[in-house]
Amino acid sequence: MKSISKDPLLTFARWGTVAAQIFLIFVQVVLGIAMAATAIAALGFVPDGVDLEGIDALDNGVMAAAALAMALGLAALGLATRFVVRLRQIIDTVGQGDPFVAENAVRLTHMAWLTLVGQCLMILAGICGGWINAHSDGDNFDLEMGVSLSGFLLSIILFILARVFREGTRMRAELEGTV
Amino acid sequence: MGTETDTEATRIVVKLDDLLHARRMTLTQLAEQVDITLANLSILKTGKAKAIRFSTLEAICRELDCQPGDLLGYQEGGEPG
Repeated sequence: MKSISKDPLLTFARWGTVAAQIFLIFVQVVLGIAMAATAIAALGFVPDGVDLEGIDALDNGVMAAAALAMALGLAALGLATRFVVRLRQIIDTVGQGDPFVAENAVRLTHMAWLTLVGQCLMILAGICGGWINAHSDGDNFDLEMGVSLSGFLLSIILFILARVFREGTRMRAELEGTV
Repeated sequence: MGTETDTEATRIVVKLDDLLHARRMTLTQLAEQVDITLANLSILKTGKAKAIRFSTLEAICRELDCQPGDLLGYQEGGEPG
């Protein structure tokens, strides 16, 4: 049995997922604050005397669209966090020497759906960004969110890997009954 | 009578217990002679095995001086389950 503490690759990957999860949570908090501030500004609740450099020249519609784009980004980051958690759970099963279990097939399927939904959210955010750029002079707001083909490719690969794990689990169960 | 192993639609009977009894041999002795773990032989003897390798069959037949048909039987008309 392979111990996770003795395998440098698994140890590195595990800590990588922990670091990614912390980073994603931090970005979500920052983006959440920015989204709330933008939404408040879009609704016109800006206190007197507050200097909103950069976004004060934007109209409320553009700021509302920006808040929507941030909300979509926030949701995508939430999905990414769940993705990273599932990846770590799979890495843990590899470390325990038992990766071909039905749970990992389910986890990979979840990861594939998370990737797919995340990509769809990014498309919507990209549409928001395009609308914002069309309705502002472009100097005050810079939103770059594009459609990634590699994301969709990753989703397909994960769906296939989930099948591979499901089949591997079935084959192992058969082998276990072989003497 | 041997132990029954259920397959999808048939009933395979493993007669290892009878063969061991006839040869006055224990499962532990057989396990040592055929170099198969006692746990695996026990699975075979109790009819819990889903499949048997030719190498296992060959080793058991060699040590017990029997034919595969002496070890395995097919019970017609049996109700799997």
